[in-house]
Amino acid sequence: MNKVLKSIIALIDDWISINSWEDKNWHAPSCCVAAGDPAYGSQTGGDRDNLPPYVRVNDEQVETARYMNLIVDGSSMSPERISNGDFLLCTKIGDEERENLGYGEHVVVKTDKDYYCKKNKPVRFDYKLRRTICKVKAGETYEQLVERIESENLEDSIFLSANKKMLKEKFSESHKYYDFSKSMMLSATYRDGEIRYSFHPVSLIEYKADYVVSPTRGMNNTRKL
Amino acid sequence: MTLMDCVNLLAFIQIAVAFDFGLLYLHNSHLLKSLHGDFIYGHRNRVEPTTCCACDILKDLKYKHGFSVKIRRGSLKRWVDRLTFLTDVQQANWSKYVYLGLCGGLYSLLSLVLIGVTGSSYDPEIRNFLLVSGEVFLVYEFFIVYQIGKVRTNGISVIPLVKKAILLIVIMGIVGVFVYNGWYFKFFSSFRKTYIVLLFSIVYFPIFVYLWKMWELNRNIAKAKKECERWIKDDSQ
Repeated sequence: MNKVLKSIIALIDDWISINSWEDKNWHAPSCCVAAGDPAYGSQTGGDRDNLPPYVRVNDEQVETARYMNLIVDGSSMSPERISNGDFLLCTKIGDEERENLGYGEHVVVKTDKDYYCKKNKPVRFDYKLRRTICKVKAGETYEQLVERIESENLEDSIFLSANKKMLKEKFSESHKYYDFSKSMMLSATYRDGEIRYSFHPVSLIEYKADYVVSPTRGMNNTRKL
Repeated sequence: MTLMDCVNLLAFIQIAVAFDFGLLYLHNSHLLKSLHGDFIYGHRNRVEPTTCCACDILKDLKYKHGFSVKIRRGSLKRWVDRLTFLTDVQQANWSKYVYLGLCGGLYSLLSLVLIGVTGSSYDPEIRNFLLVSGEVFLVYEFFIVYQIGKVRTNGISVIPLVKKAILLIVIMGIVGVFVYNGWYFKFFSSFRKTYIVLLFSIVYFPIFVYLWKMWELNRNIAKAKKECERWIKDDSQ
């Protein structure tokens, strides 16, 4: 009886809810990168054909074809001045570069499908965009990590107690899923302009974003990241 | 309703149909989207001196120590991020609002057919049907707006839209059965005034939502700017 009732509620929800007004099986093309959560997508990103062959950054002319071009989907990285529909010119990084990534790099991380599956979330994007904060040392505790971020002056947001609490929750949550004896990266994204932290294995970082091209108001503004 | 009134009303409804379905099919280039973009762009220009000043202060504070400095750094960064997010021009996304256009457009079409084509505005059953279905549509539009605030995706696809259009037609059918059997409460004595108010509310609902959104955005930007300035001022003391 309970099952029947649940099915009826699910059916009604499917018909009247705006949630189900989008295609449940929609998956972003591989040229798109989620600015925030890869479980959600705006499907309103730009068209790669709009990217000009050359862009100008200060006095330098950059050939876009020499880079991996990805389209940003979502507004989560707006505080970093990377908007929905912007193009990222990225370079693939090797193991050595991956290990040497420092603070403030914009990286493209491969989405860990198993992780999202465990959280009962769909994965709509193959990649997500993050700003690196620091690597987590093997065996480092939460307290040691916060102390290091503060002493090395890495991240201003960490000074707020609410953010510390959020980081602590994320740290223990990630510990349950990932092996922290391997190389892990702490990175940031945003939701409604408020910072969110995430941990992911360094091995999942595939590209480093070098330039962002913003095709707003008929102009292409390019910025080095 | 005189013949002239009827003609005027039909003209009004036709404009509403064009507006609502325009919102549905021109969601990437609709006038509301451009106006929203211009609105944010204006705000961005106005808050730019504040964000630039805050960023300079954040750089300077990096070399200072102390608990109060840390709190100022954290707070200033928080409000600069929020302000940058709120004044991102690409936020002017109206994809989610196409559902309101679909709702308004369908009700306008229904009115157009019932009043214009069949000329049945004098029939009490048709009048009651228009009133009751209008109330249902208005409630559904409020429900859509409530959900728009909760759902984080902006995407639309054609198949679910067709599904929702079928749903609205089915609702109209159910309303028809209720009206035919007299299963409804009669609140309003005058059809004409009630219907005009109801019709205006339903078909131009996206405009009201738009104005409300602009007011909300304005308020949020003002708050973030004020907080930013407060932390800048604190720092300069």
